Amino acid sequence: MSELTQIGSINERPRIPTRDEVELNFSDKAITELEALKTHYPELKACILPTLWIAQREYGGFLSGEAIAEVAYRLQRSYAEVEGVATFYSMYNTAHKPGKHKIELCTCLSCHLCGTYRLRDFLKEKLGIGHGETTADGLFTVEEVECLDACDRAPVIQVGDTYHGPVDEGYLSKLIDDLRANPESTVVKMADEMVKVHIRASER
Amino acid sequence: MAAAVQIETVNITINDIEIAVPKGELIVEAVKRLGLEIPIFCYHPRMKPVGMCRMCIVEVGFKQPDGTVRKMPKPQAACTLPASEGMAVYTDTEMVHRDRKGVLEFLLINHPLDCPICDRGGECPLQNNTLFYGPSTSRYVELKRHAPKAFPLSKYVTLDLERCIQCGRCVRFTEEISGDSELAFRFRGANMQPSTFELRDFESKFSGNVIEICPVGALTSAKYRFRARPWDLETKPAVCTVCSNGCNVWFDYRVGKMVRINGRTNEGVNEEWTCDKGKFGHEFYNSEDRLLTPLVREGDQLVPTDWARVYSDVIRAFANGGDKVAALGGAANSNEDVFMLNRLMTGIFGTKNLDHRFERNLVTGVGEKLGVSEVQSTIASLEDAPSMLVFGTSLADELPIVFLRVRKAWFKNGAKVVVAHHAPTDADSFAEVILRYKEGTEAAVASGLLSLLVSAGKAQVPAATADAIKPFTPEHVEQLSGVPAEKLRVAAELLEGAPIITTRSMYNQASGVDALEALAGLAMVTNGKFNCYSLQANAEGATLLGTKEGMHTHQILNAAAAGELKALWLVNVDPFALYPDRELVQQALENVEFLAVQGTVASEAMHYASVVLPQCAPAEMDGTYTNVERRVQRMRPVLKPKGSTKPGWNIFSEIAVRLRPATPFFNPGEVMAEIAKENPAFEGATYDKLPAEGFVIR
Amino acid sequence: MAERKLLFEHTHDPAFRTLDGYKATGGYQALEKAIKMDRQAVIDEVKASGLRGRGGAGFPTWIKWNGIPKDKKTTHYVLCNADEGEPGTFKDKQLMETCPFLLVEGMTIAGHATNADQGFIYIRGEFIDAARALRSAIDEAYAAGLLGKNIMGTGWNFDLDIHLGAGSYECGEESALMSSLMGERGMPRLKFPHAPLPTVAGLWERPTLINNVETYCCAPFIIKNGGEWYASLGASTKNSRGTKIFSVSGHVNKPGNFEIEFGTPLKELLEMAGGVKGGKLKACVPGGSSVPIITAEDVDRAIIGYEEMSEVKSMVGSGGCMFLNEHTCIVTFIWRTALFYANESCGKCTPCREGTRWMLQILDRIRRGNGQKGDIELLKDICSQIDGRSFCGLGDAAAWPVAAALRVFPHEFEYFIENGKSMVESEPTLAMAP
Repeated sequence: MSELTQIGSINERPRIPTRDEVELNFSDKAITELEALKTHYPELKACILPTLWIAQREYGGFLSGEAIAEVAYRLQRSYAEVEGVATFYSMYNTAHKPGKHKIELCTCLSCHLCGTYRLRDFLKEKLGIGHGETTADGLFTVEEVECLDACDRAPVIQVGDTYHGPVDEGYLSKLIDDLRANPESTVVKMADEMVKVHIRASER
Repeated sequence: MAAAVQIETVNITINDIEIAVPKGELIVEAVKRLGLEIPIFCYHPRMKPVGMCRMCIVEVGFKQPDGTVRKMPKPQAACTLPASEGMAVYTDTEMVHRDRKGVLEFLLINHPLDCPICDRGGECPLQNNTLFYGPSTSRYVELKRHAPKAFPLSKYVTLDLERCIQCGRCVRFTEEISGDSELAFRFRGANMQPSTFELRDFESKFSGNVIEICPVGALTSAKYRFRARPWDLETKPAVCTVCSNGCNVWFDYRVGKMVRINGRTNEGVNEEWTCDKGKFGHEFYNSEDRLLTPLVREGDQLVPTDWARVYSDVIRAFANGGDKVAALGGAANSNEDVFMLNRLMTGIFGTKNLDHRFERNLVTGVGEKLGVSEVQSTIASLEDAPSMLVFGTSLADELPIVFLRVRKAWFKNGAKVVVAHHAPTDADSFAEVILRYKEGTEAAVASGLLSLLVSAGKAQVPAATADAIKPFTPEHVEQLSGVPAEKLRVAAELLEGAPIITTRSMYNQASGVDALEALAGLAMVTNGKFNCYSLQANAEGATLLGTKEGMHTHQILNAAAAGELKALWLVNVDPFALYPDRELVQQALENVEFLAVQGTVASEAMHYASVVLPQCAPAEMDGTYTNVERRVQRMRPVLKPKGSTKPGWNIFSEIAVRLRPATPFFNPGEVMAEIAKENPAFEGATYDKLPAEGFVIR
Repeated sequence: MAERKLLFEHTHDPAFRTLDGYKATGGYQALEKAIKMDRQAVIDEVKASGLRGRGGAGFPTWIKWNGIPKDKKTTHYVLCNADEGEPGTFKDKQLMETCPFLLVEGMTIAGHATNADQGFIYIRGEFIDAARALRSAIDEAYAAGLLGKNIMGTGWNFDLDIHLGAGSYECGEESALMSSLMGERGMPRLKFPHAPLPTVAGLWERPTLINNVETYCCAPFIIKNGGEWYASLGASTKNSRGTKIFSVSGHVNKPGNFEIEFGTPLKELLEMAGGVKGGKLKACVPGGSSVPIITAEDVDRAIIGYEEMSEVKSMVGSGGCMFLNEHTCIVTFIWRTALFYANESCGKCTPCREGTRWMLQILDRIRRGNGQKGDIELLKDICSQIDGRSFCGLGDAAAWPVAAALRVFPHEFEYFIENGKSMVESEPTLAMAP
C-alpha cells in the first residue's frame, strides 16, 4: 500500500466489488464440501475458517483478494471481515503466492535450544531465501514459524502435511532434492488434507 | 397513571460510597451517577462493550457477610463489568492510578506524537487522558511502529495507521450501527490495523461517523484536514437541512465560513450519528456559486441590482395576478418562510397556485383521501417495534437516519423487518423477508399483503375494498410481480401492529398511489402505523402550512408552458433536478412571462429568470423546520447572512408590506406566534415554548 | 517412581488406533457403563476423581461438567481444546495420533453427562496427522453407532465434528478458541464476571463444556474404574490426582512424553528422559513456555503437583517441560520466549499488544549488546504492567517467564548489559543467536 500513500494523493480508491462482480472459481467438489460444512454449524459464519482452507486449495495455495471475495460471497459475509479473519491466522497464505513447497521451520524454544537457526542459515545458503521468501523458480518458500509442538523431534520442520525431525543439514539437503523431484504441490495438498478432515464419512 | 416500570436495583459501593444502581448497569456508567468519571478509549455507550483498551481498569471487590471487602486479585475493566449486589468498586486507588499510567504509556510508545499537525489535537481523548492520567515522560527508546501516513481511504476519510490505538470503535461502528461491515481488523498483534477490504474505497453511507468516534487522529476528515485547529473554531448547534430527517448537528465555523459538521445528540432523531450526505453536504455554504446580491435580467445577462428594484419588478408581475400567477417550491425553507410565502400568495396576490411537491402523481394525497395521517410513527418509536414493513424505498439512501433506527430495532431488539423493493437495498442485509418485485408492481404486492390478511379473517375492510383486492391472491401476485407466493405469506404473518415505512417517492411510481392506499389500509387492519415519509428538509412543514386548493405542480407547469401564466416564482427549488419531465420544465420556464428565481446557490433555472432573489442559507437565519416525523426544530442563526441575502420570510414580508401597509414582522419568532394562532398544531412550537429537542406535532 | 502409563498404555500399539483394537483393550466399556448411569452420577464420579483441567490452569473438571444447565432448553455443546500450542508441549498431539478413540469416547461420555447434542474438536491446523487419526476414529465410531443417531440404542443423538485452526497460539485460550470456531478472528471473549460462563453461554450463546484433550481422555478411566480409584493415583500430593503427561524436551538425551503420577519428583522426569545432554543442568521450564523458569537446585527438590510446584515458584502448566543445560544463555532463551509471545499476541488489548512488543525490543537490544542501565527495572515494570492487566491470560503468560528469569538469573542479564555479550560462551550457544 505504500506507493499510494503520499499526502496530497487523490482520495480515490478501487471500489469494493459488488456481489455481481465477484468471480466464482470454486470447483463442484469444493461446492459439495462447502454444502456439507454448512450443516455442521448453526451459523454460516462458522464456515469461514474451513472455507478459507477450501479457497486456499482452489486458488493454488494462495488466498488472493479474489479468493477472499469468493469466500465472503459464498458465506454472505463482508469482504473486510473475511480478509480480517484470513490475515489473523498464520497458516493462510495471504501475503503473497507461496512456492509449491512451503518449508516451515520451527524456531521456537526447544528447536531453538537444539540449533534450529543453524538450519535456517543452511536453507538460506542452499536456496538463497530467508523467512517469508520464495525462490525465483517458484518451488520453495521458507518460513520461520512458532512452536509446531513436536519438541521431542527438535529441530523440527513441517513441509505440507508432513513433519520431519529431528532434521540436520544432510536430511534437509536430501529433502529438498526429493521435493524438487515431486510434482505435487505440498501447499495445495496440505489445504486439501485440511478440508478433508472436516468432512464426515456420510458426506463424502 | 401508567404503572411505574420496576427496575431491579443492586446495592454497590463506589469508593466506599453506597449507591443503588440498576442491576447489570456497566460500572463505567454507574460511576457517573456520583459525578465520577472513568477514562475510556474503546468504550462507546452506543456500542457493545469490548474491554480492549484496558484504560478503564478499576479495582473491584465483593462485600463479604462479615462486612469486609474481598478484592479480586486482578483489576477489572469497568466498561464490561455489570453491577451486581455487594460489589465494591474503587476508582481512585494507587493501583488504579499506576495501571492507567501503564496503559497510557503502552498506547503512547507507538503513537507518533505528531499532535502539532494532527487534526485531532485539542479535542483528542488520547491527549486528554494523557494529560490527566498519563505519565509525563516516556521510557521508550526503541523504534516506533511505522505505517503509511495519510492514507486516502475514501473521498471523505483519511487513515493514519500510525496514530491508531486499535480500539476498534470504527470497526464496531460499521458492524453494529451502519451494518455495512466495511471496516475490519487485519493482521494481528502489534500489526493489527483497521482497514477496508484490501484498503479499497470506504463506501459506507455513514463513514463520517468513524471520524468523530475515533479517539485519536487515525481517522480524519479529508474535507477538514489541516483547515483549522479545533480551538480556533466556533461551534453552534444547528439542524441539518440536507434531507427531511432533521439531524441535530454541531456547526463549526471560522471567520464566517462553515468548516465542518459534527453529529449532535438528539435521542429522538439521530441519536448522535450523521450520514455522509449531511455531514459532507454543507459545502454549499462556502460555494462560489452562492447568490449574494439581487439580479435582474438585462437582455441576455443577469446583472446585479438592489432589492428595491427586484421587489418592484416582482410586485409588478404578481400583484393582482390571481390565477395567472403561481409559486413552486418551499419544501427546503423554514416554517416561517413557507407561512409567509403562503400569506403573500393567497392574501396579497390572490392566488392559491402554490405547490412544493414534484412527484409524478399528485392528484390524490392518500392520507387525505382515506382520512389518515401519512406520518404515524416517530423515528424513535421504530426502535421498539417488533416488526416492520419497509416498502418501495432504499431507506439508507432516502432517509439514512430512519434506516439506522430500523436497523437498530433489528440489531438490538430483534425486530423482524420485511423489505419490499424492486432493487437490492442496504436493508436486505438484516431483512427477515425480502419481497423483490418487478418495478411497477408495487400495488399488486401491497394489495396482495392486504388481501392475505383479509382472507385469513384477520381483518375487516369495506366491501368495496374487499372486492377490489380479492383478485390479488398470493399466486396471482407472484405472476404479476415475481414475488414468490410463499414469501408473501410469511411477510403477511409478520405485519400485526407493524409500522409501515415508505416514502413520498412512491408517488413517482405508476401504481404508487394504489400501493399507498393498500398500505394505508394494511396499517388500519393490522393496527399498524402508516408512514409515507417526505424527503425534503421542511416538506412536512410546507404541507401543513401550505394550501391545497389551487393548481398543483403539474398544472402550474403546464399552464406556464402553454403561456397561460403571467408570472412564476421558484422558491428555493430547482425543478430541473426534481421534476420527472425535464422538457416540460424547460417549456414552462421559457414561456412564462416573468420568472422570479429565489435561492441560495446558482441553479439551472436562473438561465430563464427575470429576477433573482438571493436568500440566505438555513444556518444564516433563525427559523424552524418540520422534519420527517413532524418534529419542529429551531435553528438559530450561526453565521451572518452573506452579501445582501435575506431570509425568505423577510423577503415575502417586505413585499407584502409594500402592497398592503401593516406592522411588519420583525423576527421569525413573531411569525411562529402567528403560525400557532392560525394553526393550533404548532401551538407547542412557539419560540418561548419550543424545547431544545424539538416539538413533535401529533 | 517410574512412568505410570494409563492413557498411554497402548500408545505404541497401532491396533489401538482402530475401533476393534481399541475395544479389544476394554475400549468403550466406559461409555457403555456411563450411558446407563444417571447424568449426575457420571458427574459425581468425575468429582470423586479429583480430576483437574490438564490444559494448564488446573481448574476442577467436575465443576465445569456440573455447570451445564440440567434443564435443557437449547442445544448443548461439548468442545475439546486440541489447540495445543504451548511451546514445549506435545502430549495432546501424541494422544490424538495414537489414542484417538480415548478422546472420542471421553467426549461422548462428557456429552452424555451434559446432555449435549454436538461436539467439536478444535485442533490446531499444524496437527494434520492428529486430525487424520481422529477423522478415521470418528468415522469408525459413526459406522458402529457410537456417534450419530441413537447411540447404543439409547435414543440419544450426538454428533462429533472436527474444526481445524489455522495457526494462532491465542486460539488455545478457551474463549478465543470459541471465537475462532465461530468463524471470527481468534480473539478472546468477555469472561465471568463480565459475561456468563461458557457453561451457560458459550458457543453461539449456548451451554458449552470445554476441556483439554488429556482431560477428556481421563474420563473413560474414571468411569471404568471409578472416581475413587482414579483419586488414589497421586494421593501423595495435596490436591492433584491421577496421572499427568509431561512432554520433555530441550537438552535431554531421550525427549518424549512421559506419563507419571502426581507426586513424582521433577528430577525423576529428567531421568526418564535420559538425563541432560551436553553438559550439566542449568535450568528448567517445567510446564510450558509461560510458566516461570526454575534453577537446577529447584529441579532437585520440586515435586510435581499443582500446589507442590508453587513451592519452587512455578507451575505444572500444560506439562511442557524443557530442560536447559549449562551452555544455555538465559537472556537469549528469554528473548526467544518474548519473540514467541510478541508474534502470537492477538492484538486485542493494549498491555499485551504493546507490552509484548516492547519487551521483545528491549531484550533484542540487550541481546545485540546494546543493553542500557535501567533495562532490567524497565522490563520488570513492563511485566507488572502486563500481568493481570491484559484481557486474557496470554498477557500474563508473556510476562511471567520474563519476570521469573529476571528474578532467578538476574546476574546473566546484568552481565549481558554491562559487557555487551553473554555470560555463557560455548559452541552450542552460538547456534542459538541468529
